[in-house]
Amino acid sequence: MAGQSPFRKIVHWLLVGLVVVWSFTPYLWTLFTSLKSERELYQFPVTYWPHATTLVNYVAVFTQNPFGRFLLNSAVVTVASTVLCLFIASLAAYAFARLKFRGRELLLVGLLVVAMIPLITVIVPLYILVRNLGLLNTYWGLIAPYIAYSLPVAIFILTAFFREIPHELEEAALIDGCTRLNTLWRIIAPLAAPGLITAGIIVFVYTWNEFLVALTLTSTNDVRTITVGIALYRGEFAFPWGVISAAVTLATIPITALILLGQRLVIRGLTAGAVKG
Amino acid sequence: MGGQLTESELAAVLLIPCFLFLAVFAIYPIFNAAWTALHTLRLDQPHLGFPFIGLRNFAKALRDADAWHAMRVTLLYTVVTVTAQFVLGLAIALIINRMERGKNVVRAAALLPWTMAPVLAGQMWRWLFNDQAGVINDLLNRLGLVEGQIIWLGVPTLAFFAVTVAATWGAASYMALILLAGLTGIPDELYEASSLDGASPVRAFFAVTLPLLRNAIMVSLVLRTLGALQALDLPFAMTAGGPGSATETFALYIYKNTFQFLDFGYGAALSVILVIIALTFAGTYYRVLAPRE
Repeated sequence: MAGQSPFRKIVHWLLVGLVVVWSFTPYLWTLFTSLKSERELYQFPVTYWPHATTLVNYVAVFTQNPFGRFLLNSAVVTVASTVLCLFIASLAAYAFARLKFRGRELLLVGLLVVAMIPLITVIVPLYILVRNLGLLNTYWGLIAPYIAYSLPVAIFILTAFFREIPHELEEAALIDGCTRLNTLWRIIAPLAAPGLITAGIIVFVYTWNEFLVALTLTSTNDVRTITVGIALYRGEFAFPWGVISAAVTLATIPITALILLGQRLVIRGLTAGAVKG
Repeated sequence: MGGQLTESELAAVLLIPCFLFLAVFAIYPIFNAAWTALHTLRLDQPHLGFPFIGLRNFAKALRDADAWHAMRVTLLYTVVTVTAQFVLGLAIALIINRMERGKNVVRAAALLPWTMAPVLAGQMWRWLFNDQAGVINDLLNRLGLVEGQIIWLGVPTLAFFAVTVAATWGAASYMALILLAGLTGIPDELYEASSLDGASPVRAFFAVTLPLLRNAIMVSLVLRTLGALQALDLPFAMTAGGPGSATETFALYIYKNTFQFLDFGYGAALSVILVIIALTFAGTYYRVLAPRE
């Protein structure tokens, strides 16, 4: 595609610019909003670059509101369920990628169907189940369902990665007298690290962003996650857009950082899981 | 442990934890929902108990004008957003695919909208579309396209439009990445061959690109359609289904019946209907677009 006319090159770079503007502008706008004072916020015509930058909204996020607590809750729940989900999913993915057993294809199709079930369908039985287990308004009440709902996507990604690890290494280890489980931890796991990171990031993003389950299974600020906290937030008087924007900015920072650090792996994972269906 | 097990036995051991979690938190709730759908269960009227009523909840859904309205909203929302996401996603994928330098940076930038929680994106877009001090009204005024302030989220058709814009923003990038992976897999020789044959770039697009993207297109369409059919977070945060019920998706209507009207039996029946519709869509795509050997 080299050797194009300058005109076509300019058009191409304009289009690239449009893609970046389209993706970034809403984020930037939220960031700018969070740095404005209340008075500047409601001016029309709108000021683009904040005239008087202020951190008052960020102070309000932590001092007058429980957003700090919500962020902590999200972190605890997301980290715990991601780690546990990866552990369970890697066992299953090893079986799917490496072992021959009856009903393998059928189980994979079943997993796909389970992954397609809308959350809204299971939410009431889930609520009753978690209530009966006495886990409403607890971290475990969120972590356990999150593990379950992340398992299919984690298994698909890990299975795709495990299949790419050469068989010979494993056979050599088996011949050397390693047990299969030993082989899994000593040989496969290190080689599967990129796969684990990929699946981990994707599961982390899904869990951090989840809303319906967290909304239904929590009713106190002690365990509420950040998505629910922001969605249910109402100011005393006018709708507090400055504070909301600051909270949204803070809630997106961990995810954005994670994605930018691991984007190559994430894209590989999204497409590996997806293109194989 | 391990050494003496046969492959099938080892597989069973490895799959048990996964199966337990899915059985308890996914499979049991699905059957429970289907079972509840065949009963009356109203939390606001506990004296009614839990009587079996056959398919009467489903019959009620067929006669429920609000349910039909929510279904129309959802189908229109699905068609509009998935089409817009596909067209835009394909455009983004084609643009990034032609890049030689800076590809990774742009790809990462394009990925970001997908990573924002829909419920937070809903809040964000609600502010962008704000009638008093929203940036979209401001831009339109500065460009001289409109005078005064459009009440985006207060007029049914405009609110619906605004929600579809937000949904398209959120998922077009995801679509683009899957399509981009498909594009990267198409060997350059095919394009060279087609240009030697005298085919125009447009013809090459339809004769080479689209057919070879079939798999990636199918996957992205299935995933986005399933997502759009159960859309709840975004309209919940952006419009709460309003004004009136202009943006009340089927999932929101289920939520309302269950958690506001406390009619668990009816909510369960509606959610079973949603599952059937979702699986029908997935099956149809598969039949139409599945790779033909």
